[in-house]
Amino acid sequence: MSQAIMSFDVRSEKFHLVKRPQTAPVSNLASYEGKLAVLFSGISDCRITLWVLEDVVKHEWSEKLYVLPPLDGVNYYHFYPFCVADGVVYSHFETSDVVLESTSSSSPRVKRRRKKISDDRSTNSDLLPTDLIMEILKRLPVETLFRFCVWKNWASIIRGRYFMKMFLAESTSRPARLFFGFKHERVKPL
Amino acid sequence: MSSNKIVLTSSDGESFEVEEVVARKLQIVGHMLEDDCVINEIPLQNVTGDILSMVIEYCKTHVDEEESEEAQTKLKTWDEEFMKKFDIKTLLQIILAANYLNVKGLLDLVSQTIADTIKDYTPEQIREVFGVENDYTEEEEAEVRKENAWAFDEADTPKP
Repeated sequence: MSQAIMSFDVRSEKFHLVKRPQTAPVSNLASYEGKLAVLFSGISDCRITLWVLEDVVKHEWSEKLYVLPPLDGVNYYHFYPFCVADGVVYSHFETSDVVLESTSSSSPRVKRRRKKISDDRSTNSDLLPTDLIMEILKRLPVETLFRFCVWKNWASIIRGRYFMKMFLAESTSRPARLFFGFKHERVKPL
Repeated sequence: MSSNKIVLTSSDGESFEVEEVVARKLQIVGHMLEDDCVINEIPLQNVTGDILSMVIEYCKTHVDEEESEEAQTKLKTWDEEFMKKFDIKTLLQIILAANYLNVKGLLDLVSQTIADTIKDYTPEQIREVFGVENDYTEEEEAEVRKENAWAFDEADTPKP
């Protein structure tokens, strides 16, 4: 399979061929700090390489390597990575949820779980009202949020659109970080 | 500046006499005063004396918020030291009070402190502190944990 990256100059209306980073399959294009980026996840390990096109004219790419925590029985090659500024892993979570639902539409169990999550929206901790829980949760790092999805009522807060907006607003005031999100392409066995 | 005194009374009957400028940091009180209720004593039903005294201590310190960098740094240090005094249970009481009394600065401060405190908690510790019921079946919980396995790595070993 042969791959190429093209650029289109909107002023001169000309196409250019961009030299692609060496050894990198151009599977995942992304935008990183306003520049074009290519992401590649390792086939047999937990590495993700990010190439950033630093100079469009000279075709200069910089390379960054990220090593991720190992996954249980799955490798990262099965995922679709994308990168954006802080907080975006979050929206992946929603996306992956949708994918989960659509790939297993024959299973009533998954659907029921989704439904129960939204029904439980009003019942929360005995100690704190939902808005205060949100105040606290929005200040947590993304990794911690995922870990705290182990209750339906907290999961329903964390996955809710309102919280997502709060979280993004809060996280834009923090220093920017690079996040990878993944969309699992394998159908989940149930 | 007005040196009018106002008495704030907690749910358990403890009274605190504070300057009006300090009391106004509690927006709930500010609104009452703006509504032209000529009152000198304000009962605050949802907060106990020990918690109210903490809130007042915060408000007294933050009564004139100066713009200068030096003053800001000093306040920030004070905030950090102030928060160190409390355990997680007390912090939860304070966040409730800050919310009810509508003290924005304190609400932000306590939320951040709680977030920093619970960041490394295991789900079990969270459950204990927040009184959240475990509402997943074992099977469902295992599935969620598997989905988010990468986030569990460190936290599964409880911190001392």
